[in-house]
Amino acid sequence: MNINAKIHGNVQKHTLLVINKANTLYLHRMADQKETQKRATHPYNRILPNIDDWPIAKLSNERTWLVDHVVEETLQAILKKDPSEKALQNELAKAVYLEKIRVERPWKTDPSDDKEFWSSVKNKLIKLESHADNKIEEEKVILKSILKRYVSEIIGNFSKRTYNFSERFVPFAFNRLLNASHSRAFRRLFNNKKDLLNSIHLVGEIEQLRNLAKDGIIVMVPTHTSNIDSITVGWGISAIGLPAFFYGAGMNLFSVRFLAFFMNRLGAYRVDRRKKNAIYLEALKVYSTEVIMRGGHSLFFPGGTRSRSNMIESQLKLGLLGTALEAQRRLIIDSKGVDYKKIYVVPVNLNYGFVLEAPELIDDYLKNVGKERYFVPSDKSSSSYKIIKFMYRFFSADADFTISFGRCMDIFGNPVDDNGKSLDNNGNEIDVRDYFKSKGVLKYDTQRDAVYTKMLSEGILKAFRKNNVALPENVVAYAAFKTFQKKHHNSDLYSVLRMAEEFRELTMEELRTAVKKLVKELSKMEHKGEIRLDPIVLAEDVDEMIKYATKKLGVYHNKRPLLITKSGTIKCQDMKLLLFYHNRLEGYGLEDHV
Amino acid sequence: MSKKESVGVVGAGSFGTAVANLLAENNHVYLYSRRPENVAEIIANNRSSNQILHKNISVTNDIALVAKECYLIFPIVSSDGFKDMIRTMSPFLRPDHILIHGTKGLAVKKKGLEKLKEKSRIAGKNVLTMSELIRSESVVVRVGCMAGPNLAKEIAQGLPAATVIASRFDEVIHEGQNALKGPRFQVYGSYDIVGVELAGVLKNILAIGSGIITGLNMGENARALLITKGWAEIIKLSEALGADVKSFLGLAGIGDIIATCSSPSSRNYTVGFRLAKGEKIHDIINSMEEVAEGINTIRIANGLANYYNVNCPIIKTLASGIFENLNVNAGVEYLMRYKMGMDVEFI
Repeated sequence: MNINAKIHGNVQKHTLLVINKANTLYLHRMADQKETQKRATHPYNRILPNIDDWPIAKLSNERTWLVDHVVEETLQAILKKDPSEKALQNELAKAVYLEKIRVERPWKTDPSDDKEFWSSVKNKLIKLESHADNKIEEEKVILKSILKRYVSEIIGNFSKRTYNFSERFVPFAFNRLLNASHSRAFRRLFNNKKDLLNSIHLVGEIEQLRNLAKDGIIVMVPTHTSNIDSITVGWGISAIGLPAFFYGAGMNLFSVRFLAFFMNRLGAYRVDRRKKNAIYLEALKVYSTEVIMRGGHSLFFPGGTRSRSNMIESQLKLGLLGTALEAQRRLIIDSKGVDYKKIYVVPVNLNYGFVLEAPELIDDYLKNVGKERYFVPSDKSSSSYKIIKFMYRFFSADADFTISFGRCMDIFGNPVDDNGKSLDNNGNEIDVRDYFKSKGVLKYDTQRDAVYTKMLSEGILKAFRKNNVALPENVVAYAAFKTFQKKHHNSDLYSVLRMAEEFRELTMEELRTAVKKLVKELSKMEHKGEIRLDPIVLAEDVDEMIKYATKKLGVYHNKRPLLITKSGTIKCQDMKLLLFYHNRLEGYGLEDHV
Repeated sequence: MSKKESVGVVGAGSFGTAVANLLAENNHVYLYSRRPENVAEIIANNRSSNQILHKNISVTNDIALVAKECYLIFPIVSSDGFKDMIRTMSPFLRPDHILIHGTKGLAVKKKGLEKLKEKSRIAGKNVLTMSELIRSESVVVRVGCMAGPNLAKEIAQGLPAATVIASRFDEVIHEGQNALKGPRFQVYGSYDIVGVELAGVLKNILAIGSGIITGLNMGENARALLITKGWAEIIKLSEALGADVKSFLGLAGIGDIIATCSSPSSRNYTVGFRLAKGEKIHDIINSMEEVAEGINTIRIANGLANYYNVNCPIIKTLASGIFENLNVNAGVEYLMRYKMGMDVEFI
């Protein structure tokens, strides 16, 4: 992809040098970017130059076969759980019941014959129940027709032409928009001054990932805070030269034609969160397992949904993670442990200095603290126009955005070396086949796999904390929020949030002291590998760093989380937003250091 | 019986030997002892910790052999020797090993130990249960723990008893059950390994307390008061550490309490009794053959309670009594003056 992604390793020292002399950090980061632009337009070559060799392209050539295969495998999986006629009838009846409710409120993306299809399934089921014959064949036919429908809907279509086109067109289109926004004048639409991904920083273990993606299978698991995550991480993947990934995208995104066009052809498959019946969920899992087993690099958002609080995920959904484990087990057992492909899990942190939907997210969070709320998914909020506007605002806001790639681990959460060997805590090699053995023999054990999946999720959660990049925005927001809290130490979170405007002000001195203490602790933690720091956080001139951060923090919100008043004090216009950006550094035990 | 199906026991103390004898009913057993001279002595007398060894037991000093020959191993050594033991064994362990430990103590990380001594505070992340220690020091993931009313002396005499094996893995529970169960020994299962471990570890605090009560001739009412209220403190504290309350009502909880807190054959109980009779803690520790885990546990539990702000007056008083030489009568007086709230608040 023709972008100028900033590569952390090379640039870090440079940035630091500049910072110390800088009048404003902001200007120098811009200058720094120009430097990078000159240096490299292709920071990373594709690891597989020919798209035809990509797993995703190969699998897409076999689409028809794959649909039938997934249907068959899912059927077997469902029957394996309980092979009785009664059980299958029950599953079908449950699915029909739920689907009949769903089709009452159709979405644009739903096929037009949805209602008729489910009515006819219902009628067939009723007939069958009236003459129970203990033969399961007829139920199997019905199940197959449902599965065929589901699987055809789930499986995406990868198109080489669209991929090539989008790789050139998308950055082009957004660059135009960006320059327009930058100059605030559309007549300069074709004046290429500012590059789309200049504000994206790629940091972390990129070389290891590129290396292991050549022979192994990658399962990428990013943190999730914003609707544009799947797009930005998609760009990130392309920028570091990896082939396109399979990823499950919410059905509501497909209702935006502009996005659907690309997503359909870039390897996205459809996940419909309205369909909660066991048959659909099984089909999704089987598809994901098959894709991974066939070498398809995959991407899941393991948190399942956007983090409403902006805290790093503290709990993961195990369903799709389990498919990665299942794939590894089958690869090993099918090959009898000889010459099997290894699966590597890569935790990725997406860190934004500005999240456009922050106000809604934090409201959701505060309403729901302590209780689970049922979200009714809807496709209402997304029109092509809205999404484009959304992305336009995001990129034109010139906010800091970092993709931080963690070290690869094996499917059990053990770290792997650069050759893909799993290592234990003492650095000795582990033979992963042993995990699937009982008394020396490879053996299938679902309960064991479930515990392994839990272990993997614990490993990912730990890695999320370590790879988290503290942006100057987060650091200043954290210091400010905690200082407010300390000043009102007798009140709970909600009273702090409701604080009257005249109390929502800090002197520069107060904030500076807090930031200094916080940064001191953060650099200790960085030294120990417990967190990553954006180089600007370490700027010598703390006041400049605070200015930089307040300027960028939530820059496009109507009410600013922090701003510097004319008299030089720091004011918070919206405590909830401040809480939101501060939350990214929660859970490290930093509160004692502000 | 083929050597492939051998089961290992690491640690030839009184409980380790009793477990080895139980296992030997169903399996060939390797019983490992750290000291070569000890091994020679056991073999010469066919006795370990005053128990005659079953014919299916081979005694060894070769840890690599145990790891190589056994998929299922029971480490039963005192908590202060546990880390060294697992480190010695670690190079020979693989992810398909099953380790079920029977050690009722806690390990403290170096970092936490300083804080504990200075400020009587310690964070949960600096305290490891034995299963967590196994996880952090080796590649073994299939860990379990064995806890319950299992006084070694009675098991050695062949009296009926039952235990709980807790693990996240069904496989560990099943393998443990198959290896251990017998006509006089029942084996139950649990998924709450943290709860079962903590119940087994923390009950030793009350065993010491119970010994003190006896030593002071304070009567059965007082003992019941101490145990019931102390147990409530332990449950609250364990919940803060991620345990499930239910485990505290099972064999590893109530079951173990009933056995340990009234039995003079319990080491921890004896420590309490001797304390009440005016002996100094130092002299008691030095005069005992095997470690009374409860002494260290009181200090750690008190540190945890301070760290997590869990109100534990009984644990606190015991800690001050043992480590700060608080006068026993003053301690009792303090507890009896304690403000009374509602009775059962932890369920």
